[in-house]
Amino acid sequence: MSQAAAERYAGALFELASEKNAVEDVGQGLLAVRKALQADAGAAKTFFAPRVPATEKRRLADQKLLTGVHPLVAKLVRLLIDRRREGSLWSLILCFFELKETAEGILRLTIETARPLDDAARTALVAKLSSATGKKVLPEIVDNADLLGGMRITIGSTRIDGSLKRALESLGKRLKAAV
Amino acid sequence: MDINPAEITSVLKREIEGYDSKVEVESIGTLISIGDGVARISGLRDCQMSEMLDFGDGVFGIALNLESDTVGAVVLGDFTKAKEGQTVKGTGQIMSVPVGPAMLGRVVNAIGEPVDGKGAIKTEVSYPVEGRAPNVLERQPVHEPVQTGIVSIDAMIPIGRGQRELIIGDRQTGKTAICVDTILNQKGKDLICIYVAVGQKMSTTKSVQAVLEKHGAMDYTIIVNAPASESAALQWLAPFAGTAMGEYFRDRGQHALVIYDDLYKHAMAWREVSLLLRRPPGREAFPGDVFALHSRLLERSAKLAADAHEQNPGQYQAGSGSLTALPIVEIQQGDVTAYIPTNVISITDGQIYLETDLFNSGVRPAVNAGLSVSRVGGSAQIKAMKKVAGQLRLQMAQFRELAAFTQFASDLDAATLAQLTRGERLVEILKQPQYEPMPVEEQIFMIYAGTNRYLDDVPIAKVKKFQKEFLAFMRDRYPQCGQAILKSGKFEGDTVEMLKAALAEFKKTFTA
Repeated sequence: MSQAAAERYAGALFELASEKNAVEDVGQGLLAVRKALQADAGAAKTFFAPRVPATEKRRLADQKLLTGVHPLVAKLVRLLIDRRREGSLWSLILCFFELKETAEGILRLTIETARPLDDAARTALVAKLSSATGKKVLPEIVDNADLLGGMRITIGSTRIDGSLKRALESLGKRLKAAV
Repeated sequence: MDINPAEITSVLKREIEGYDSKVEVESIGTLISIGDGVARISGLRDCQMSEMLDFGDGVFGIALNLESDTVGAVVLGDFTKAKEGQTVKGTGQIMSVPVGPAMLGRVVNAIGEPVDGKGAIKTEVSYPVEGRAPNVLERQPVHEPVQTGIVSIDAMIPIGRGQRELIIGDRQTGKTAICVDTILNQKGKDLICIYVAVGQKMSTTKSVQAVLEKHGAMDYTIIVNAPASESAALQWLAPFAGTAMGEYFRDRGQHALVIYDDLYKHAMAWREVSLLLRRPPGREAFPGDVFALHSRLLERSAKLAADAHEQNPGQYQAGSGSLTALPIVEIQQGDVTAYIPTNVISITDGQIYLETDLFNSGVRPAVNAGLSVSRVGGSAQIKAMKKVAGQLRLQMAQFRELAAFTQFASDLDAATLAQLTRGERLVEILKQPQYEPMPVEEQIFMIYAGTNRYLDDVPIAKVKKFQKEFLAFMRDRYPQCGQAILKSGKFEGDTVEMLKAALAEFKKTFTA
């Protein structure tokens, strides 16, 4: 199944969960299903094998995966089995948590710095980014000596580049153009 | 490249003075796959259609497929250094090429970079390769001639400034030769020429360049070269780049001519790119938009209205410029009903059909006057040419018909014989060696002489001798006759009488 289809299933599940005020429980349910599949290699093999009939997969799910999970998660897994879309379960879970984070105002980003930041600088930077974006920032901080100086922040497919490397590169381009 | 240390110092001084530690916001994506010049990139959320993408190391690409989670792009240049997982940056700029008078005399590749080893080209303006075609209000009907210097074309299939005239024929029928002659004939005139070589052998393009240089035609010509060894993406892009270079002159009230050699190879390059981008194939595996590909390219050739600059002052300057297109399409075994030839025939304003049999029988240029048409060029002929060409077209049509009917006849009446005799001499007049374009007034002299029985008693083998000596005689003894035609554009009254007198005088001295 394509990524687009996984996004649509995740979107529908998230909307239902929001209506029933059960986003947290559904999220836990999805994680429980994932954990169960990861723990039992045989079950995972049967669950994702295209040649195994749907009835057998449903029986497996009822016995090993769906005990104690939120009813919406149980219904989703059965629907995926019926529609032969169980292969997209991993992408669907990822998309669901992305939607959940967006709804909660969480923003994941990567910060690359030329030199390691101390704790105080880290806290100040995260606080500044949170106030600038109006969201709860969850940073992944990476040391990247290639930058020479300054820092580079990547949010999704947007990059804010304040590094010395970039400044030198643009100076090089201007010099080439001028000479 | 020569580097002047003083210049570097002055640039650095400016940089230091104006240094401001600004951050740069970029749109980025991750390269998922790359191969055969086509890349798929995830991310690049704000990517625009035809946006230039930076793959690093001076390699750029163009975004062509915008999908929900990926962008499909063609890579222009060496993609062997690109790595899966690397970052690709969006530049925010639509693909454009440098344009301007500095490009004249240069050989450039499909992205406007010089490939002739004559150093960098300094231009200040660049034009998008996918430019907008002038709308109906910004145009006017074609009314000025493009003199090709080829008698059969200027007389019977005239081309006007702003027209799109297809040159179609089998391999080795002289398609490129007609275009090269047309370029040579623009020496000392106001028409700038752009020759776009798509999928050609490098040696062919080099020989065209050598001919143009030898005749001093590179001064007003740009060659855009995307040879067969280049990637399909560059071959696809080259005609659009050449058109953008022509549009620069068109928009500034000047006149330009762009030659696409050839559009069949261009369609093949676009088929390759489209299939690699996984677009569904249609007839002959060409993509569904192959018609739109050529029509949007050729629609940009136009004659601008006198008030176009008032309607759109941001784009046009006064002077009603023009861009003329001479696309070439190579066909197989004379089959004009193949997919790409029929497409381009229906888009263009006429076609010049070159025939292998004519070429082999020594009629060069091998123009088949019966199958060739010019839908708008007639109104672009000067009055003088229009006057004599009417007779030529009529007599040639009668000759073709008679020649077909009398192929097996043994005894013919005098009138039929006379028509055949004249027709054979007219065919001789229309034969023309390569690289020898003829001025329009001399074309008029010869057509007048041929259609008015002055050549009937000259043996066929001596017609070319007659032509050479008569034209030399006219230049020497009656220069005012040609000047009068050029000045007034008309051929009437005293000028006709003068030519008649000159012909009578010359015939007394001419010995076959």
